[in-house]
Amino acid sequence: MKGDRIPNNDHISRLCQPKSITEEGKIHASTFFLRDDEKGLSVNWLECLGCSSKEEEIIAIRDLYNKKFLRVGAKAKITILNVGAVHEKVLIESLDRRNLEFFHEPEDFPIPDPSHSAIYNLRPDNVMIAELILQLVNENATYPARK
Amino acid sequence: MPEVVLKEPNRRFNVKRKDSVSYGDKDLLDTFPSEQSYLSWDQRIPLPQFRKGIFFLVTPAINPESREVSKSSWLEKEESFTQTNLLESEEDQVKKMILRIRTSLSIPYRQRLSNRLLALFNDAKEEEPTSPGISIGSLRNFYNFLQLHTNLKYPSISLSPDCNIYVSWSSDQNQVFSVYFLSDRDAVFVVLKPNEKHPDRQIRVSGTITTDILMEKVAPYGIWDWISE
Repeated sequence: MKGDRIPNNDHISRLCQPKSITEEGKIHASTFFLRDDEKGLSVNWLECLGCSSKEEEIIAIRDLYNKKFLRVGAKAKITILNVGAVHEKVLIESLDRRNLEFFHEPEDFPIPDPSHSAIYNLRPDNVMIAELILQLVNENATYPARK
Repeated sequence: MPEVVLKEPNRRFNVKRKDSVSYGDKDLLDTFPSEQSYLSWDQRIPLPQFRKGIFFLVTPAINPESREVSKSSWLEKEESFTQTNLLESEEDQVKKMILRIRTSLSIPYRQRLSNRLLALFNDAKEEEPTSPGISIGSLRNFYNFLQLHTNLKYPSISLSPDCNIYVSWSSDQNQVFSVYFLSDRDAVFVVLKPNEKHPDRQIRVSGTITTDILMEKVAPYGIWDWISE
């Protein structure tokens, strides 16, 4: 339901567009930066999709990104993160013991996106927080985004 | 009644002219041959020849109406300055800056860097055709930083969602130094490095600073040892 907190045991996905991927094909911290006018970082709540396996979740989320965004670049990636791990890492290691919040925020536009969610409290010091989150990115939990 | 003294007419096109031209607070001696008209900078300085195959994605024109050009040196019809004009203008500046980087002898990896910036520019335009590709202010800030520090190793480079430049150097010893180049002279930096006395802990420093003194301020963290050549 809109406004629900995402449980620590659950997982989120983030679409990493090519401009935030390095020449070596690795995700860069800039993928976790907010735009100037953004308050929350867009992610998707995987368990909300109701799939029976991790593989199905990846297929479903890839389908969604390819329908929702004007263009998903050839080098774009999807990274999967555990909510509790991100929360704990940032809480313990950020300079001001930042308490990130993960909220379910389903969207209807441009297409229905019932698993859409957002991470809040990334500012101030978004760059440091992004670098901390990047340390949790696992290449084994990173997938091509383009269909 | 005081005598009125008329200034001599401008003798720009007079062969014997020895006037100097003043711009702002500096005096520049104009020694340009008076018989010739002034040339634009690109006519006087030969442009370097670039490798073929460099291309920029073209921004779809919202209003592709061609400009009206008069036979005289003045436009007969002045068009209003639209957001499309602004975007095109910023895009042009970005392209020029990338080409400038490509020919900057002080940047040892100029070719690779300009190729990378070009790829990022095209990635950003592909993702969002109405974006400027790369923020010109951020790119200029990055270029000035590179001009100040010519012995830096080649970094990992990406763009933020707002198309600002983000670069990182990392070492095998779990050290990271990242710089986020903002549109003015400022940059946000992050230093992550192991705490030698407490191996289970990490030293984490971040801040916002003008790029001209950035390296001086992070020097105490031993950055130079592993990000320079």
